[in-house]
Amino acid sequence: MAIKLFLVEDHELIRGGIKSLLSGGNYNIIGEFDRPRLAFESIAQGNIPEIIVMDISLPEMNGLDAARHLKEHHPDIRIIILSMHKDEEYVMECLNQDIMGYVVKDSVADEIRQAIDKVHAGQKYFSKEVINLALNAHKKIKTRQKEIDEINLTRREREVLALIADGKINNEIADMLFISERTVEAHRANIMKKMEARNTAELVRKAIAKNLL
Amino acid sequence: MQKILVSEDSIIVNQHICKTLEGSGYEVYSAFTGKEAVRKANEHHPDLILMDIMMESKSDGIEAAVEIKHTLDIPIIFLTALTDEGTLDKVKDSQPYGYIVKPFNEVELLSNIQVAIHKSKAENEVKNNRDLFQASINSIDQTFFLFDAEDKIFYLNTRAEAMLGRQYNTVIGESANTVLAMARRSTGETVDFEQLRASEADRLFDSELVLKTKKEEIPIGDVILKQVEIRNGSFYTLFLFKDISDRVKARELELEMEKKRITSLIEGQENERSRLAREIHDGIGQMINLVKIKINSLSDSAEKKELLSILEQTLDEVRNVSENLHPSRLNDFSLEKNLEKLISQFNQDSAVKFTFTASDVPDLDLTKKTHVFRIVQEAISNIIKHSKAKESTIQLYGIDKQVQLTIEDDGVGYDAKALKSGTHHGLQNIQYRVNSMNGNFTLDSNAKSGTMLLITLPV
Repeated sequence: MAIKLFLVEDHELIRGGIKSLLSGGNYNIIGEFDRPRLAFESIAQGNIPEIIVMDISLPEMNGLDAARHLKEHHPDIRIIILSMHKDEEYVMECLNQDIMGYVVKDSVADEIRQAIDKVHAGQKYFSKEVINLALNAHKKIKTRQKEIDEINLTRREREVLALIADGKINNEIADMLFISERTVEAHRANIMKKMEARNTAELVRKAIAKNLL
Repeated sequence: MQKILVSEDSIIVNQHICKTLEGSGYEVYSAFTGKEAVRKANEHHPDLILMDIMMESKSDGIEAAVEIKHTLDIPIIFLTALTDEGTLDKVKDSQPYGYIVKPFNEVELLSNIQVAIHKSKAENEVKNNRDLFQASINSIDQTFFLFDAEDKIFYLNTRAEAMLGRQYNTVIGESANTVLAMARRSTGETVDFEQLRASEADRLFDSELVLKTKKEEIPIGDVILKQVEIRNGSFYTLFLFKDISDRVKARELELEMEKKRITSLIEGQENERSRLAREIHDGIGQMINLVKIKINSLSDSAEKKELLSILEQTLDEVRNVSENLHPSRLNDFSLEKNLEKLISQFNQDSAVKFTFTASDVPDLDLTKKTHVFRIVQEAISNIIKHSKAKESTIQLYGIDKQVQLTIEDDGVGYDAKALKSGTHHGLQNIQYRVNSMNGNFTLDSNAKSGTMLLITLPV
């Protein structure tokens, strides 16, 4: 049985290109659309593909949002993103969304076939070029998480925090640091956010506990 | 010739007085009852009336005098044989010019008459002057107040009454600072006459002064506050101003229009860039991809390899151009993700160490996302170009239905001159973008502690 496919891509030429790449294989393109809405409508009428090959930048709704929508309403349909983007954000977003495949548009001819076959067999397929990106991104996120976990106050924030702990009020701090009261308020709000404190007492308590004073 | 009406019920006395007066060159009319006196006064408009208090054994002379006083305002001298105080008290109501107690002699009569006529003339002159003064003051299109030396309200014109919504006599004698509650329009801070006097009122408070009345706050301008001294040495303060609501409204409208113009300019530019970026990326880029795929399917050769390499470079160039015009990620990802990416790019390329923290940022629409993205881009390139900073921290938080963006650096601070003159192009651009989001932008900068840009936006 040929694999039933939808092609969602707003560029006619690209659609043509993909079609010619897939011709002669075990593929049956049962729908071609230039925007996700039309694909949804076709599905609603009972024309249900096994795999949707979809671009990211599309009219009315982008491919990532469309994938989210499909995941929710038709979890059986598998999605392969066919994209111009070689950026970690896009790749990470697809991984997060549990999208089965990500193929960059300028990949070699048989990549798209490989992707469809693997995804059809229940495996994931990501273009070689983007796999590295994803791994890098993952590493970065880990270091970032570490950075976020250790509270990083700016020099000015540490000064403000010390004065708050000293019992000084905003306008006194402003005078002492030669900055405006509004700026002090902003620093205070930033510190509270970073230290997840709801009031001054909690802030001071946490600051002492974390040796920030 | 001056005219005198003699009102006296005793024919003998009446005749005697008439003769005496005619002999002295007056034109004389006589009446024998109060009613007749009123009628003849109306008919002849005499310069003076001699009025007997008791006529036909009734005190109708007083009633007649009161009536004449009210309608005609002719000076009256009472003739009376009575000197008891009760009668004199009653007579006071008609504000007589004098009493002559019978019996009287000719000299007494004539001198009393002359004094009364003279006094009446002088009084009329004063009254006319006052009328003229009031009419003039009421006719000017400014609100007019006169305070005495203790800043109590001494006089005000009809325009002032109307503006305060209060009657003349409820205001007179009141303290100026209580009646005229003024404030600065922008801050709401109270302004009293001490402060007004200490300043060059109109220049310092240009379009900034409001008068608070019971109903509303009226912007006032063209203020004149002057001390005047009159001949007896007493001081008064002249306080004049205009209701400039229309002028203020027009100016606000102008500013609003200007803001809209700049906003639509920036947004139009941004939309156009976004459109161009998309067309380049998704149009030209996709075509190149297609060519690449076609070439890939050709049999391997040195030419194929070269072509593919050129195409790869072309694609990179297309991506760069498109990203510089408008990052496509802005359409597809959250502001935090976009800023994270932007800042990590700057971290790779510059000596400044940038740190970015964000949390609780609510979803923003594409316009706002783009504005904030551009603001951070602008601020960071300012830091790299001018600040000599080592470190910079960018923070973006959702706080109480607001988004707070702060950009700190430990550099040398902004050039105060450029800041003051408002010619710092990058900052102006940030200001426009913040304005168009109805946000608030402040900058705290000094050479010692570096710079902090603070932007708050309503969600």
